Amino acid sequence: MSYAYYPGCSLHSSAKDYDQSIKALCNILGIQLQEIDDWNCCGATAAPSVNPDLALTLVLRNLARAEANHEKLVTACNACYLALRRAKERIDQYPQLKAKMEDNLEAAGLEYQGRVTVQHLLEVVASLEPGVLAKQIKKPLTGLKVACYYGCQLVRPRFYDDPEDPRSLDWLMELTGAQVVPFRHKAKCCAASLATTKDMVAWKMIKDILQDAQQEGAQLIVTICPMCQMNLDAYQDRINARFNLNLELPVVYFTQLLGLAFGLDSRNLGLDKPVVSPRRVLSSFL
Amino acid sequence: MFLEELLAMPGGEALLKCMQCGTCSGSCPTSYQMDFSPRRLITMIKAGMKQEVLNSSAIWLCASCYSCSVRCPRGIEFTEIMYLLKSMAIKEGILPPKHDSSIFYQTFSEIVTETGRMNESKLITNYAMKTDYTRLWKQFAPLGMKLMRRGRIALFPAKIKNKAEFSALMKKALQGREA
Repeated sequence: MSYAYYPGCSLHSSAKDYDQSIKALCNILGIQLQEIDDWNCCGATAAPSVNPDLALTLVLRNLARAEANHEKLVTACNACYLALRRAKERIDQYPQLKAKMEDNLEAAGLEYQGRVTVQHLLEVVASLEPGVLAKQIKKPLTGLKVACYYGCQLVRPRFYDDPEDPRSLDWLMELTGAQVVPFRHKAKCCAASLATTKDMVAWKMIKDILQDAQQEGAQLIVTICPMCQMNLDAYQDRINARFNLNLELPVVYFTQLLGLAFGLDSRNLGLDKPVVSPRRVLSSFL
Repeated sequence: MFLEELLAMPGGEALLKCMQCGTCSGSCPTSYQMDFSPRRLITMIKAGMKQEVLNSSAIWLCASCYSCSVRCPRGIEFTEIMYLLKSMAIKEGILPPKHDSSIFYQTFSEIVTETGRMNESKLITNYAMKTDYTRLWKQFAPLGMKLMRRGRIALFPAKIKNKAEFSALMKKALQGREA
């Protein structure tokens, strides 16, 4: 299986551990990733809020570059995934946008034919035969209680799994031997950029998610998006101070936990990167 | 006309299907902070209240979680309408009293249009300088320190290679906006 890999900006900076663990995991699973040559930022939700045409143009340059060598594109960031899928869908739905975008791309000597498909890495991994995954499990995460957090922009507006109660990550984590706790906030919003622009509003949203996981007995939260990871992980001290709580829940990527279960060295999975260290909780699996 | 303007935009045509059930407002994680709820914004759009809608703080509280969009019984993707309202407000130079998100999105887009990639440190610095620079040490320095200690801050700003190609593309995309 060969994919055009779109890491997105976060995976080259604040979420380097996600990138690192993705590469280690895909290597074991025989998923070949070839980073898209000279990819650019997807524009996330900022570009469509500023200028709708700019948002589509940013995405289409990436898709045009991806489809030059590949039929399938994979990304592991929810915001990138949504931006890419959304642009594809809009081009198909509105002929006037397609014509305008073709004109834009032509100015840069690029062409988009619409052949390349876009998937999230969770979708790719969760669609593997259970046997293929089970065969790789060297160190089962038996007894580890995890809360599976999906965030928004993979499962909504309608792209993968269930928009209210997604299960694919739960299933993957159960396969590793971990115990998945019931988690009502699994697809509630992490507040995204409101953590920067409206911190009081954001902290309440983040607090509700963390508290739910804690009350259900989770020892850590596993997630699939660098934005969600940052928001749930990096503000716990501020939230504790504001709401008089003692939250201390590590937030790690699904690729890190799968990697551990597959027997990979934690140093190759970037497990030293989360602000709230998962070391204690994971001590018997490291 | 405001309503006609929105109806003509890709994604805006669904507005007329609204039956005012309020599922959007009830599903929204930030509507309790909004001056006008999503349901109410739709009615205001239909009533042609352009200035009130584009000046509302509500449009800058949407976190693009798409909860309203998947639950709407009439298939209206209100998140898409929110993008249109935000971009219209920016195009018209309207800055609401609580305009931080507007400045954030604009700063984000400027950096990407210029260099092709996001630079998280530059985004935070430029954003703070344009809104409230004391945030640099009150809000962002503590976060920056935590991330730096764990090697989560890129030391060199990311850029793309094919600068000429990218600039030509961005020039064209931004021109379309003005026309």
